[in-house]
Amino acid sequence: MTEQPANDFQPTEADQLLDLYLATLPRFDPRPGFADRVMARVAATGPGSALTDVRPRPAVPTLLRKPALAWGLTGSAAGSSAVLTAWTAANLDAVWATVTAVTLSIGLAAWHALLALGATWSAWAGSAAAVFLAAVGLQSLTSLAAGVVIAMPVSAIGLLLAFRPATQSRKAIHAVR
Amino acid sequence: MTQAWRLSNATDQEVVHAARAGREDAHHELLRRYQRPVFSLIYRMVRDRELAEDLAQETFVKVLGALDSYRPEFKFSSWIFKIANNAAIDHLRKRQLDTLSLEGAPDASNPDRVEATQIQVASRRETPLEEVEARELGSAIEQAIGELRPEYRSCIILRHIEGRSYEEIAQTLDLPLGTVKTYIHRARAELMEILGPLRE
Repeated sequence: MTEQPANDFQPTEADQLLDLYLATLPRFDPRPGFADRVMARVAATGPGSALTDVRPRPAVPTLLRKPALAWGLTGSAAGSSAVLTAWTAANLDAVWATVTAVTLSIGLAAWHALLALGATWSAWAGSAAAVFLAAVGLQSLTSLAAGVVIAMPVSAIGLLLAFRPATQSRKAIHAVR
Repeated sequence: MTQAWRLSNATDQEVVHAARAGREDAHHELLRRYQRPVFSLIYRMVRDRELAEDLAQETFVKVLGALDSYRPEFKFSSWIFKIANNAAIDHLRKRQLDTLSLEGAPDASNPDRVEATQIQVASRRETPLEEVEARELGSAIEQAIGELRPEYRSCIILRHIEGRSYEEIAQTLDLPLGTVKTYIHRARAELMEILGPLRE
């Protein structure tokens, strides 16, 4: 762009006339109540307003944000843990014997139940598998298995997406230009 | 001595300082001082009273909400005019309105809209004849300004209506000083060309 100095310019009659025209130009007033409308908008968009209160929800439940309650719950948990640990240390042999007996009995019962189930259903399951294979063929079964294997992670991702936390809202930032 | 009296006699910087401290009357004082110049600048840029008021409101909301980012080493008037001019220029760019007429905005599709967008020129003359002449001259010069490019229009308004120095205009419009002088020189030349027939 060509810069043209305006410092040393001599006003002509036309310039003076233009200045006269420009000097007649008034300033305009906005409608009455302009200042009040602006202040109302400033109040609506200022700090503490509903517009700016769109912070992401806190991860800690509201109940636990009360310090007295949080300290109380923590103290109770720590106290009961200490009492339990002390009692277990004092009665270690009796506890160990009880745990062993209970574990063995539960384990044996579960093992016997599993064996019984296998004996009952193995014949039926074998027959059903043989009939299915004869009907659909080995290749179809392989394809079905592959489909299931592929579908499982996809379903897992879908579940994760379905139960993900709500999207956090962002504050709009208005830069002054 | 009341606070209101002190504010009305305070400098812009002092009023801004008070506004930053949260004084609502300081906000009102800034509005009182600048609502006419800011509205006039925007009105002459966009040539639509309703739109100009919206943009002027937007300007003040931005200014009052961002007082903390104002740097006191610059004139407050330059800062507020800069924000106002940016609002008007942004709107013009969006709508691509380069020229408008005094008879109403070009997109005015019905008589009500034409009337709403006509520029209103107030007269300060006393006799009816002088009033008519003033309105005629005012209309012609307003129309001529409306035909200028937005950059030239801003320069002419700030220089000849708001009485700002070249340096302030350069600061306000983020332009080199030489460019401001060139713009004003060319804008004046265009205005004289447009107004030429009236002088004869």
